[in-house]
Amino acid sequence: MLLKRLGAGVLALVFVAGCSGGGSSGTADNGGGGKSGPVAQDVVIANVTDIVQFDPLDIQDAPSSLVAGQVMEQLVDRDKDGKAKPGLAERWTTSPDGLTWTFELRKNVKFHDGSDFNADVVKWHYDRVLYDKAAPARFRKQWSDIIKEVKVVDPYKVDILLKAPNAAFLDLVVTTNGGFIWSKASFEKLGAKQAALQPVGTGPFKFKEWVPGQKVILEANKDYWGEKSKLNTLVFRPIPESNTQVIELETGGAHLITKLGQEDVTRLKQNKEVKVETVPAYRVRFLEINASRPPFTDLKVRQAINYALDTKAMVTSLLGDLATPSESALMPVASWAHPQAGATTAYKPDPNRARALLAEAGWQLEGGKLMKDGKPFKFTLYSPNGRYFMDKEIAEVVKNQLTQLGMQVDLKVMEWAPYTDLTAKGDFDICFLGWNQSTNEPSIFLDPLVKTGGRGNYAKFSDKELDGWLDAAVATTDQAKRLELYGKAVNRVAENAWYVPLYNESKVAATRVELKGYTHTAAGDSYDTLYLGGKDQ
Amino acid sequence: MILLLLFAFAAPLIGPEGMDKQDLMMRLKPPSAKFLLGTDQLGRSILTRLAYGGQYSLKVGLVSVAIGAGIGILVGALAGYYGGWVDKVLMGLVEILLAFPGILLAIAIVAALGPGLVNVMIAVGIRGMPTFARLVRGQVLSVRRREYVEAAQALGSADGRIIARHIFPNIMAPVIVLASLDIASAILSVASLSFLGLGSQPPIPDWGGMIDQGRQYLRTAWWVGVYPGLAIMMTVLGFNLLGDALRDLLDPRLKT
Amino acid sequence: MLKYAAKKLLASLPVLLGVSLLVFLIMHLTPGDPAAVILGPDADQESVQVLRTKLGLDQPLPVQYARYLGRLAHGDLGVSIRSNQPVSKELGSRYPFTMELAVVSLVISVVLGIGAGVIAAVKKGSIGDTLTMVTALVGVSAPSFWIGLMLMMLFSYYLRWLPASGRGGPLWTLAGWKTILLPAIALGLGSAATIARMTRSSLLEVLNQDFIRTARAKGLPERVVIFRHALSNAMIPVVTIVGLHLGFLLGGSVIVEQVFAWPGIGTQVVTAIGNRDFPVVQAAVLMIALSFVLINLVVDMVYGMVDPRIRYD
Repeated sequence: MLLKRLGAGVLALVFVAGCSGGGSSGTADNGGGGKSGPVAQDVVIANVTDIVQFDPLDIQDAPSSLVAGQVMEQLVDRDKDGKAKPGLAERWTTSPDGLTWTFELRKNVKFHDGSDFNADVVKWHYDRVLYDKAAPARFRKQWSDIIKEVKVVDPYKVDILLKAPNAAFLDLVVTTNGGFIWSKASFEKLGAKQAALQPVGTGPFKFKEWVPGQKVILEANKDYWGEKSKLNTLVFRPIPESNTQVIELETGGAHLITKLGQEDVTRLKQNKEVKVETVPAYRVRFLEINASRPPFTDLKVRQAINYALDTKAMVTSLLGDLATPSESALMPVASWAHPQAGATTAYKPDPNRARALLAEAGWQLEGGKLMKDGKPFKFTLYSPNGRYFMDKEIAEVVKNQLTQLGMQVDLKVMEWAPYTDLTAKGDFDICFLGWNQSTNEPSIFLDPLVKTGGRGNYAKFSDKELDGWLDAAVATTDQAKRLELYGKAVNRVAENAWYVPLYNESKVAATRVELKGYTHTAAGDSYDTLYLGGKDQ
Repeated sequence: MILLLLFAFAAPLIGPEGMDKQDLMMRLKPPSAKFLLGTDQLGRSILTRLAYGGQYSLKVGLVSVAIGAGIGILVGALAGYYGGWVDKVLMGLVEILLAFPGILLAIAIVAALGPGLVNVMIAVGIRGMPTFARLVRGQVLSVRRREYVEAAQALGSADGRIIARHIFPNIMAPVIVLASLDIASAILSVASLSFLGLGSQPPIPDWGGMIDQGRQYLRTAWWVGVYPGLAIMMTVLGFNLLGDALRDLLDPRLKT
Repeated sequence: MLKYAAKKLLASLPVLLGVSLLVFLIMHLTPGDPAAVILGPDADQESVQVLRTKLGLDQPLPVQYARYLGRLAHGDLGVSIRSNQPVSKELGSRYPFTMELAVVSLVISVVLGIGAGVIAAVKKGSIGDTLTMVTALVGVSAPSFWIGLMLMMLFSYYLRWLPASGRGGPLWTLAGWKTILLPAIALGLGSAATIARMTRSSLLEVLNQDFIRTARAKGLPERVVIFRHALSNAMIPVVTIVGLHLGFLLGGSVIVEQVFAWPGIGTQVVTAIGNRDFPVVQAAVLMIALSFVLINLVVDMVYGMVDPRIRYD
């Protein structure tokens, strides 16, 4: 039942329960209750935090990226399976040597400020990343390593020349946050700082207003080149707590929420006013074992830990629909390179095997404690708190299960800032980590995490043969060859056992039934097809 | 109060398997004969965890007040006894601390030191320190000029000895009252820190942290978040009543 | 009186300076490198180093503090490390909402507290008195965030009377009132309880004094005795406590804002601490401390107005 406000002027707390046939007429936010007639097409979406800013080169947080993605577009878009599809470029080709990517741009596309979208703007945008010292440097190094030059061929054709062939070029450059193209005219008029607060793009929604801490209001772009949105406004409200998000959804204060626990997912599935959908995201979660520190220098010890933990049971009971237990620590389940069950060296939970391996490595149980050369098996397990689904709880279970083997586990749950500091320095025994990407390209998971010197290879593990396979897999576009190489790589990672796979996080979305046209995908969400309809399912 | 102490110290009897006995098959079960207050998200008995959490709360409350009172008394006594620039400098520092409203200082300190038992005690202790310093300074000022103190000074007793022998015994009553009331607010502060994720390390079942974890189950398993809140309330209430009673007993003139 | 105010204000300058130094030190001794946090876990060391230089984080601490003070003297609160926007702009847009929440909850706690206190004092010893005082004790004893959660479950989730979070609009709109009610009550309940207990004991004391007996003896109606004569005298200590509580409420809002997604400075401070966004934390704490000092000054003034015995010199 929705509660609808009767006319204004009535004292607060006077309410009438009314079944609103046309769905929620706005929310407490716009105070627009009491309207009759057609449904006001104002959709409210819960964002996890407030947005920060919109300079594409400096967007670091998912909430800002989500809003930016409605206002700005990239040369190449993603369909719901994560495959590349035309965005601002109608088509693109790669030269036979793999060094030149040619993008043919869509014509008659205008930015929200009325300026034209064309090859000059594209070049300006990419050059700003590569050469403008005043611009945020977040992408500069990575892109400079890949891109040699951006060339305007004609007003609607751009060549991007690479330094070396790169199968992951689209994933590393074009479809990142840095790939959002915004209006050069507005940027020059407003200046970088102001432009970052009122982004001007080509997307299906125009930026209207940001009320800090309260909401970001977008309105439909009536001149959009593609299918125009049926919405009047699209509002993003920052609601950090899952508890609050759920209440807002159920009471009609938000039409779409993305942060809720497993218990609420199960419960909301019974609620006829709400729909819940989950889809495996490109987000892997794992324990990283620091193989450079004793006792984990011993492969047998690392394998024992892999055998000791019943991660599948943890994940199914604690996360249910919110996660998929993973066969591979590092490869998202939705990637084409994710191994089939049984195709790789996966560790089935087997405490006896774990004990045997520990014994082989010289660890003996003495009075319930694992000892070797008079020293106890003692280490610290690090976990963030609330960064990944149920991270702290899972760490508690891991501690519990390893303690049962006779290990002394000191669990340290930390705030995110010092946590990233500590893990990036490799200053840990075992830690709980995750890796998120917006596409399912295997190299953007494996290269940083396991290659020698990879920026996410915090424990600095090195396996030269593995490095060679990964390099070969990026240098070729032969899909069969790539699949084979990644199969070998994933297997090697499991054999080395310095990662314990935990789970593949799902993206969850709960919507009110009157919200129509929503497709839940693993890739970035787009809301241009949303509209409010009746309450039928 | 006594019940509370009994409850906390009986923790090993209430839950002989310890506070971290998990059973993922028994997650979020409602109160039953086996688990009087139900189980939490990892299938642990909430009653057992509340009892152990009680030990923790009492310990943190007492220690942090001891820290705050200890430093506060020292600072207040020095400032009150010596006066002059000692007074100015010390009370200036106290003023600075007092300019931080409520919990903010504790949050900042824990953020700096990192979460954990000892750091929480330090942070919460420092939060309470200025009140003690002010109170003690005022008391010392009023006692200092009394004849027996001046007599002791005339006899050439050392300052430390005078403070310890002649001044402290005469100002302890209000300090004890304040301490018992401050334990109440210290426990609340600790709970707030834990609620913000800045509390102790798991598996220590601190009450604020239990509420934090329980809030996502309020609609599906209310017992996880509701009972710890009640436990905090009862405990704080206990110390408030104790403080009131002590005040009536020791110093009827004193008011909050 | 103005001179007194100016003098007081001047005296509070060193305090504020001390606050700024303390916050500066706390934040900079905190583990966690803002540059690393900004760039995220997948950044390379080189970019982190470049950013550190850009943010001036590679300078020695005294230099950083001196620069900070220098900017502060010009009214420049710095630039948020995370959003690259001026801190004054970021905080300026949110600070009024924290004030709004604190003031509304103060009003609620004063109305509830004085009302309950008067009733309890007048009907001393009755069931009403006991009940009020027990409720008050429970009120001071429960953590505000827990009360908030319970209120939210009851009034937003089960009864669906009030929205669960956010700020619906300015105070003069119905939507605004509906959103502020729950956080304000959750925040103010503890203060209401303290004020109630204070009012009760203070009023009881006054009611025992001679001039009240005289007034009663003159045959004045009890209502007049209490409201005209007793209450105004009993209010003196209450006013002090009310002023102090506005400060506490400002601090307490840090937590309650979290629960209700209130767009104030509190949510921002907690996020900023998490992000090691030093300029934002420093400025926010400084602003709260400054408000606190100013409030105390105002309380001093009001105190003088209600209590003619106090003279400013």
